[in-house]
Amino acid sequence: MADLSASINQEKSDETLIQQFKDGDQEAFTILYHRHITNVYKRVKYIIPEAEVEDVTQEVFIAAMKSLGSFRGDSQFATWLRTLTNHKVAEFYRKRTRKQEPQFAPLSDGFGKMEGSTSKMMEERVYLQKALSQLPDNYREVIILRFAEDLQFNEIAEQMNQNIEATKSLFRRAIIALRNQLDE
Amino acid sequence: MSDTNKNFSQDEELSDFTDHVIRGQMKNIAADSNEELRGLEETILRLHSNMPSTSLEESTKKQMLVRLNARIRREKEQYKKKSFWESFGKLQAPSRLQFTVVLGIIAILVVTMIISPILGNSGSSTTVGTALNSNSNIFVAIGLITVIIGIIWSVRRK
Repeated sequence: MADLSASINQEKSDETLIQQFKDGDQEAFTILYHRHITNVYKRVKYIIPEAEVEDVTQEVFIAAMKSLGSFRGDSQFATWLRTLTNHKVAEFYRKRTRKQEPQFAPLSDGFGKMEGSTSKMMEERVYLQKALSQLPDNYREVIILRFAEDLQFNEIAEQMNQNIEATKSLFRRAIIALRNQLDE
Repeated sequence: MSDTNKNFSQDEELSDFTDHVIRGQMKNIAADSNEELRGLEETILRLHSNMPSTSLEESTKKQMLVRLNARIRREKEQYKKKSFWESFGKLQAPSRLQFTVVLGIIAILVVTMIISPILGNSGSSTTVGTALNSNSNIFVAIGLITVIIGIIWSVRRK
């Protein structure tokens, strides 16, 4: 257990763990899971109805495990996982639309799952999620990176291959777009 | 102040305000904000208070890992079942319907093979017997062709 905790705490790089997994070491994937689950979960929770968050998070890791063999390391594993998460979220909404279910679940779906949440807060949450989902991808991304993943603006700039001024400008435009969505 | 400078200043103010809100150092709109920024700061506060970035509990993480491992095991078992069929020249496993059809065809063939010698010996004269023997050979040939077609159909790639 101490070994696992040490490994989760960055003793081995993601690249080393991925190579170990490719060589057949399943434990390496468990360490990657523990290292990245929180960020994947937070991202999914920010944009998916509460009742579906755990299932979609699981789908992300299943997909990661299946396609890790073809991961070539052109980008960081965390960035790759973020893209995979966005694909799974998009797939979730595509399936919902196909089933002709309401894109945003009724409020009752989340009740009993969110401790300490009032119904008004739940309602507001659904409203905000809907507004976020209607933003262009880069606007939604900058908001999620700052609020859900708690990255600093300089870290977001690095992730988005931009300078910090451009990132802050993108953030302001994203908030303007969100406010306009909420006002509609 | 030019538009570019004004936008730059607002970018900085809004990002600073966001940093303070996330750190829990700001719970209201900044007193010195202009009207334009006020609306944006309101949106930031609304996002922060209604969409909290809650951390994932250790117990939930473990539960999710247990379910993930169970799912991975299931998927591996399914893959093994598939690969048995795929080992025969990349053929797909037959569906239940295809399997039933093949069984049916084999049953017809077996019945034909059992009946044909009986039919062949049932005639009283040599002429009748020869005619029936040639008929039964046709039955067997048709049966065999049907079986081959059935098997090809059952394992063909979709």
